[in-house]
Amino acid sequence: MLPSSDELEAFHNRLKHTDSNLIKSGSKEVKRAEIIGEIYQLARDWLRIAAALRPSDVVDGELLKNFDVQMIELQRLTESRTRASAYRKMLTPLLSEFFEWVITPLIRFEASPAQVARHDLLNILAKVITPTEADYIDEAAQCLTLRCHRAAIIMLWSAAIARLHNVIEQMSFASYNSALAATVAKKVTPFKHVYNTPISSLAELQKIRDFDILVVGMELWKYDIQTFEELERLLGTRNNASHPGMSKPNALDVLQYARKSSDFVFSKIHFTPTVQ
Amino acid sequence: MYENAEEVIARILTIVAKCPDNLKEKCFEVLLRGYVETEISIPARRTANETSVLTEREDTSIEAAIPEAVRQRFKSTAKRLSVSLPKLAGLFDFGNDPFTFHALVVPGMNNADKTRKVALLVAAKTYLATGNWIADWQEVKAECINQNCYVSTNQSVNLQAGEGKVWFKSVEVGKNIELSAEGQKEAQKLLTLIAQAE
Repeated sequence: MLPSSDELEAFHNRLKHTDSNLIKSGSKEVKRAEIIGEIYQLARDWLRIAAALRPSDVVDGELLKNFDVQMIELQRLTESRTRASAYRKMLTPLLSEFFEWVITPLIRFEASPAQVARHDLLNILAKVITPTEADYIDEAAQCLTLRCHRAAIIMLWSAAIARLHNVIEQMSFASYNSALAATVAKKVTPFKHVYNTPISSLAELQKIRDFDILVVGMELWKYDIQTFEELERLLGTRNNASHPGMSKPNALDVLQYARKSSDFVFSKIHFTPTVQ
Repeated sequence: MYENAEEVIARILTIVAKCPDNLKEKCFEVLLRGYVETEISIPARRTANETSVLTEREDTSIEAAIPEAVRQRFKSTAKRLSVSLPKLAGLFDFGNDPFTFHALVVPGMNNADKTRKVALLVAAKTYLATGNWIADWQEVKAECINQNCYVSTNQSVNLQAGEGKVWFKSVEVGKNIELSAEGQKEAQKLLTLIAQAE
């Protein structure tokens, strides 16, 4: 996983702190175990950070290689009697280039449009989703960073449907069945398009069409026809995203979809996860 | 158009060479943009009538450039701030998805003041994109680097100092910065100021 720029800045501060400790020793041999230990740990931490940075291409690969060589040498120096100046000789190039060539590119990457869209998506939904739904939302956010906007919409809808299924399960299937009976008794659109399929298990609920759940939802959760129509539009967008066609949603469309899902599903239909 | 491009670019490069290394890229971008915009507009060559027709056409094309998902929010914000839509839209680059800031200069008396104003502007951009008055921590950092006011060890202190206590609900390293009602007002003032100056 890519380290954050905040983590790298903390690492940079440790480097600076160690360097200022070494300055105090001038060209004398470093004998204090905690300084030697910190240098060893810094080198180890750098190699871990570099390994995480390398696949992302955010930081120049050649630069990482050079830093690796210096850090491995630094680690080797901790195994023998070494002067502070020798340690500093290895640390100085890293210190002088670290912020500009490692931290700054990472900060810019974190603020790139796709990453910002990812943060925005998570912010829109952060306060209204459960841990189960968060799995879908995280996947939607990943899709957004890869510019797979249709896939992101599908994952968002999956989270919304997970909410509806969980709430129905919590309310009891009998409540759903009685709401279904009241729905199918109405002979006008959209009620007349609902299949009369009572359920007694989660597996059966999972087989029910999303459209039917949205219509029955008017009985179950007492939302009005306008809310139903908004939900139906969200379902339509999801269907457009999952079937061949000319729909080409952009990142802002995905964010708008997330906002509407939040307003019409997650903030309206409440689910209380049971404590295990 | 661009008849004297070689000569102008040579002059731009001379000016850029005099800038500090970390500002060279930015300086080049700003100067080149200024030149390109001058070449595109050339208002002196137009008659009054041509100008009004062109302005109308430009307005329509700017409006069309704003993604549909946020167009209405841009329009209502421009109206609320009493700024023309092209001026407000002109602050953003809609070539990126989602849109980003064009190169702009954030005012401020010192690094701390500038940092807080960057956070207000980033929150205003998030508002235009999503409806939330929230500044993304990482985006604030990146924009502070662009504005040359990023001080790694003091970022959160700078944000919390002075008016920061009133403008931001809370400031924590790595967390989003949510604007208070006062901060939202200030962000809108700042957006108006910058849009009118551009």
